[in-house]
Amino acid sequence: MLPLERRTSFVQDEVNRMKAMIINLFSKAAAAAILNVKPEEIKKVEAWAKVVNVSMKHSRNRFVPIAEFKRNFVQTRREGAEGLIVETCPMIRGFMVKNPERDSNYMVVPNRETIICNCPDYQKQIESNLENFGTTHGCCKHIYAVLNHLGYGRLSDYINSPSALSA
Amino acid sequence: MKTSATIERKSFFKETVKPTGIIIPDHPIYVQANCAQKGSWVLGEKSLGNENLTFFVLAVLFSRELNPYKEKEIAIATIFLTPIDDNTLKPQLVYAIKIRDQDSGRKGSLSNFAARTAEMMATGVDPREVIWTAKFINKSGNLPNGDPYNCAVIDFEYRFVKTDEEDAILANCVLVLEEDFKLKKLQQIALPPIVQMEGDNS
Repeated sequence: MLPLERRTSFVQDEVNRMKAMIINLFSKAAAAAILNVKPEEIKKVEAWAKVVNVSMKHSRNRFVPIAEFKRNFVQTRREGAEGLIVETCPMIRGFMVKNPERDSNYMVVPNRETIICNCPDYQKQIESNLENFGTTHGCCKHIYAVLNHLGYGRLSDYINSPSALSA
Repeated sequence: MKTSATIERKSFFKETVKPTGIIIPDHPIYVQANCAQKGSWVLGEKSLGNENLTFFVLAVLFSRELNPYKEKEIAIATIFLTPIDDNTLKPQLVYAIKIRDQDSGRKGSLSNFAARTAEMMATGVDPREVIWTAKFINKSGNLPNGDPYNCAVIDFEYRFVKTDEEDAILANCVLVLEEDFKLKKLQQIALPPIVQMEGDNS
């Protein structure tokens, strides 16, 4: 059996992992999109070991696989990237990404290790990932738009690409 | 009695040449945009007031850094600029200022800068070919917990070159951009972290 200190640390890690995942993945909005119901219908979203327990206001609880939430996380951002306009900006050695629907503009800059953006979604992902995992990767719809522009399917493809530096 | 205007310069210093181009220092000259209260530009320990700053942008380094007071990473843009007048800073010298957004990440100096940059790019203008003006806008109100706040946020405006003097500075900027190895080297040197001051919500 593991010593008490290591067990406590393991439990804490698990708690942190779940906390991070809850912030990023298991939102009421995500549950509503997956179950094709209005967000107001969702009472509570609870992540368990392998499934997510979604409590509904007017019907029985639903159990959704964690993988479904992960898929939704990526899909929403990929779909959001579709209408965005990416323009090269030599001044920042990166890109300005415009959302014509919301009239918002964000800076997206590829560097050696990753791609960074100044949008709130990215900020939220980074805060959560840094606090819980010590990593600083995140991927918002603006970054997906730039990845498409550069010809990469996923952020990991960019990070592992030898030509990433020249992007 | 002789005044400084009438005192002759020592012959030893007479050979010191007055530069005509833009000077890129070996180490960035960091001007802190202090957004506490009404805002102020701070060089070293000296406050330079909160007058509008008018400049050409040479480069912008977009990065993230750890806010030591909140233990979280924030998005930062470091603007490398050269002033066009000597109202606050010296012209022909490259300075660096850092800007960021409010904690929500939705509004603030960085968003204002990004919005102006996007406006220009939408009309086919390079943000490095216009004259920028940075000005502190005072903001006050109450936080969700009821605490009052009083701080400044930097807003940006831009205009095209009007005079021959401004055009000459722009021509010098172009020379720097054409041979930008020194500018790139300058961007690799770490600057002090952006510090959140009391009441600073920019």
